Order: sequence, then structure tokens, then C-alpha cells
Amino acid sequence: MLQAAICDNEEFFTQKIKSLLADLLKQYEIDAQIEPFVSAQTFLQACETRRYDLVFLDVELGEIDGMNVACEMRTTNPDAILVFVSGFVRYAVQGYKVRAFRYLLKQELEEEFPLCIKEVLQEIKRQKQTLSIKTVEGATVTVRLSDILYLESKNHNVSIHTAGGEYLVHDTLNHLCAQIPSEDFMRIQRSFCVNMRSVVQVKGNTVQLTNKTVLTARRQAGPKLMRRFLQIQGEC
Amino acid sequence: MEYVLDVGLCFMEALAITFALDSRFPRRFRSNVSQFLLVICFSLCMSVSMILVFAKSLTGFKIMSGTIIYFFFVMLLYKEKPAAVLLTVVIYMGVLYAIDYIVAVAVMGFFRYSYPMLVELQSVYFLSAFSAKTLLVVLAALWGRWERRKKLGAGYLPFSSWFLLFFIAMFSIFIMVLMVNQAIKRNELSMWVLVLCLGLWACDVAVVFLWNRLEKEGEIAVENKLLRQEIQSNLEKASALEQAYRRQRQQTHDFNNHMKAVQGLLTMGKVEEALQYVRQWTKEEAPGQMAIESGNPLVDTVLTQKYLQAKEKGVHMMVLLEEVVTLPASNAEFITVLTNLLDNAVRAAAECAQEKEVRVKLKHLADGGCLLSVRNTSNPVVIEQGNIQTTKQDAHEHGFGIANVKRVVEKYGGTCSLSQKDGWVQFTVLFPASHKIS
Repeated sequence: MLQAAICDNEEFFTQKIKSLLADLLKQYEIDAQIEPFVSAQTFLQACETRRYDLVFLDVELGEIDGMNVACEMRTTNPDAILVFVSGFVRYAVQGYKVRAFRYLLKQELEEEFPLCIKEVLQEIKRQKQTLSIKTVEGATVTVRLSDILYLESKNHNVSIHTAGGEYLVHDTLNHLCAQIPSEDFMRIQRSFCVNMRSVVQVKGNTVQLTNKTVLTARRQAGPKLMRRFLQIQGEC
Repeated sequence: MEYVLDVGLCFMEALAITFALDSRFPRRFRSNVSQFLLVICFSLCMSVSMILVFAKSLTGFKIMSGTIIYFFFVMLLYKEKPAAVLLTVVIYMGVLYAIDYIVAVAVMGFFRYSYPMLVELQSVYFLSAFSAKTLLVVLAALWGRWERRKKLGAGYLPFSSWFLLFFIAMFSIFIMVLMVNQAIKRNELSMWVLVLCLGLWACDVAVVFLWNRLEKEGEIAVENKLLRQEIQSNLEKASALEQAYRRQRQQTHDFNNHMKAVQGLLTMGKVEEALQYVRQWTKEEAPGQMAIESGNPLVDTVLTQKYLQAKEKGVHMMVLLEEVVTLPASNAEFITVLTNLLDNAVRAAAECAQEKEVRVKLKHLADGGCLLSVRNTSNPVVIEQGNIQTTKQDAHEHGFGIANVKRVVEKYGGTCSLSQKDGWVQFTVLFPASHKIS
């Protein structure tokens, strides 16, 4: 069930976006709950209790600046995909700070909507990909792929390093890597498999991860690592 | 006389090795004159030592000492690891002796001589030696060019002209052999025949040099074209600024007119009409319906200009900016990169049947490096050696944009990456942190 919110002080547009979104989601056969808001206040109140997957927000919400609303929304809904909808697009640094996914012009809504939703769904799918593992202690844990930093083979086990901690699994790295349905993971060395999305820097054949860990890859892997890194960093 | 000829032989051997290695190793002395002088000095030393010291020693010892002398020569001329040089010299000696042997066998077969006779009859001996060395020089030059072409992509002269060169060498050798053969048969082996042979040989060497020269000039011509293209992009930049200025003027003009109209309505006391007018006017669309605030006015102007151009072609452009951008290169160079990438992207996206999209992303990495990525929807393309293989007729004109981009990026020690995924082509450029101009 996809949770979506639309916030625009002109009811005409909330209804228009709602019907466009509902039609498209029906084509994708996705159930969704779409909530339109005409006031930023009620929207932010709803954010307190609700976790949205997708938010459409007008930048010019009458008296209030949409950017501020977006900032406030981020404190309660850090993972929501945010799409700005407005009559005038300001491609500015602030948009990046609130992690705006797309900017849509109200005048071009019909043309731009299908591609936007296609990419939103891809992004949601990517975010929600998980891996079920059984730790050596016997517990079954589900880890989000996007949380995994890297996998490391240790003796006869594999250690899964995530942003939230480390899990030890009795498995081989080869077998575990084959199970991960994502192109983002790259085997950089015999005992390391890295989530390239968590890489912040590539230098020669070393990679630095978001948690400051530095891993060394095979000597000849440098150019390939750099290419993959640039590809992911350049995506938008 | 024979000493002079010996020096000549050594000269050709040394020349051949420089031709072959120029493409592989970085040379210490870059000019042609110094190459010539060094080769001449070397061949003098080599032949003198060969004649005086090693003439009577065993063949194995000769080869050994030759290898060592070559090793020092190459070490002197190129900046490279000793191990690599030693390996190359050994391979080179192998090739040298192989060609010597093959030509000697061919000449012996042609004149129906045995080996002792060949050594005794000096004219034929030198003929075979010179043929072998000429062949060696030509092959070395060909190989060198081949390596260079592999490294730098397409060269200037077409591939077929290389074979032409090979033919010239082969046939001149053939003529030499034939001439000497006839002269010996008629027993008229005179000085003139030798002079003619020498002349032919000199022609061969000259052709190799001219050919090298032509390639170099060709490269300069290509470089020229690149520069011309850069000038074009600079002109475009200027016109973008001019247009932006004119747009601004137009808006100011319109604004004044609107104000006058409102003023007129208000002085007549028609408040309701004035409000109506203002309402209608604020609803009017802004010219681009977008503004870009990257922190660099020039980048903003160029992006706006390209946005409008793309819109005319039915292409939708989106910009993602992170932090206020500090340009990683000089203004002009960065704009060259940006305009070239955008032009290509917009052109390719416009050719798509649907979803004509271009995305621009500009961000700083954790270590301060600057990343620029331009993505566009595209019909399927073939990517080879980091370039898109064009199917267009004007292949020679095409790709200059990308060449210019790569030139700037290389200058700043950056990296380019071209990739294709799910119907999108993405060109990413990374400028390293150390070159940032603040």
C-alpha cells in the first residue's frame, strides 16, 4: 500500500494531481492511499503521525514558503520521496538540502507526470529491497539493502556491515552475493563485497564508505570502481 | 668504405628502435634533432666498438655485448624501468636477427650463393644487410604508429596509406637486389650501382620521416579544429549573455508599461479595474518559468539558455544543484565542458520518440572534488573506448565536442565516464579537489 500526500493551497491542483496519480497507479496495479491537503498546517500535523512514501508539495503555499514546509516535513518523514510542484521552478541549492526528488511545472503536469511516477516507483522499489538473513545466533533478520555498507567474509562466516550494526551469518560470500538482487553491490576483492551507493570516495583502488571505513580493492579494479562510482553519483 | 657502410647499418638499427619505442616509453629528449644526434653518436660508438673489439669474437658474445650496449642506449634515451627496457631490447635483438636471417636466406636463394660466398662478395653482403635494416626501420615505424593509434584513437592518415609505405620499402629493396644481380651477371658492378642503391635506401628513410611528419601535421590540424570549436562555444556563451540581457531589458520595459497602465487606472479612481489588471498580469507566465541559482551567474545564464533551447526542441531539462558551486576549472573551460555535454544531450534526447529528457547534476564530493553529470534519454548507442560510435556521415566532424570536454578534464587531472542504462546515456565528469579555483 503506497502512502501519498499532496499539499497545495489551490484545490484545483490537489485534485488534478490526485486523479493523475490514481490513474497511473491503477495502470501499475498498485494500491494507494492518496491524501490531499490544501493547508500546510494540516499537512504538517498529519506528518506527525503518518509516514508517507511519496509527497507532492507546492513551493508557493500562499504565505508560507514551501521550502520551510519541506524542511519541517523531513524531520518526521525522512524517507519520503519529495516532488515539488509549482508554477515557477527555482533550481536552487535549497531543493537539494530537503532532498527534492523532482520538480514539476504545473503547466506541464500532464506531460511530465508519467515519467516522474515511473522513476518514483523505481526509487521506492530500490529503497524497499531487503535481504533476509539468519545470524549465527539463530535469529532471522531482515536488512534493507540500502542500509548495507559492505559484506566481509570472515573465516567460514560472512559479516554484514550495516549503518545500524554488524550481523554475522554462516554462509559463503559467493552464495550471499548471488542472492542480492541489486547491481549496486560490487565484489571488489576476494573477501569484500561493497554497496557502491555507500561509497563516498574512490582513490586508486581504495574506497571510502559513509562511515569512514576504507577498503582496499584488487589492484586492477581501480578504473572499474571509479566508473561505477561516477555512474551512481551522477544519477539523478 | 665498408666502415662507413657499417656505421650506416648501425644508424638504421638505432633509428628503428627509437621509432618502435617512441609510442611505448616516455622519451627524455623530445626534439627530432636530439634524436638524430643521439642516434648518430650511438651508431658511431657501436660500430667502432664492433669493428675494433668484437670483430673476431664469437657470435654469441657479439649478441650479448650488442644487447648490453642497446640497453644503455635505451636507458639513456627513455624514462623507463630497467627490467622493461631489458625485455624490450632482448625482443628487439630477436626481431633484428630474425629479419637479418630471413633477408639473407632470400638473397642467397635469389643469387644462388652459399653463405661463405655471400660474406666474401661484399656488395651482395651489404645489399642484404641494408635491405634487412630498411625492412626493420619500416616495420618499426609501422609498429610504432599502430601502438600510438591504439592509444590515442583514430589517427590522421587512413590505414591504407600504411601499406603504401610498406610497398615502397619492399619494391625499393626488390629493385636494389635486381640491379645488383644484373650488374654482377654482366660483370659491371661499378660505383654507380652502389650510389644508386644508396640513393634508393635514402629515399626509403626519407619516406618514413615524411610520413611521420604528415601524421604530426595531421594531429595539429585536428587540434586546430578543436580550438575553433572552443571559440565557437565561447561565442555562444557571449550570445547567451547578450540574450539574457536583452530579455531583462524587455522585462523592464514591459514592467514600466504595466506600471503606467496601473497608475493610469488608479488616478482615474478605477481601483477594481486596476486590481483586475494586476491579477491578470501576475498570472501571465514568466518567460522561462524557471530560475537557476547555482551561485555562479555565468553557469546560471548558460543553463537557462540551454533550458530554453531544449524546450524549443521539445526536450525537458531538469537541474539538480547541491551547495553553492565553486567551479573546479576556469569559467571558460567549465562552460566549454557544460555546453558541449548539454548540446550533445539535447540533440540525442530530441531524436527520441518519447520521454525527451535531459538532467544535469552538479555536486561536490566528500573530498571536495566536483562532479558534473549530464544524462539524457537516447536511442540505443554503441559505446566503445569511452566514446559513442556515431553512425552519421559526418563522423569526422562529430565527437569534437567530447574531445574538447576530455581535453579540459585531462588538463585538471579529472576523470570522464560514459555509460548507458535503461534508455539513458550518462556522461559524468569528476574534477579532483586539488585543482579547485576558489
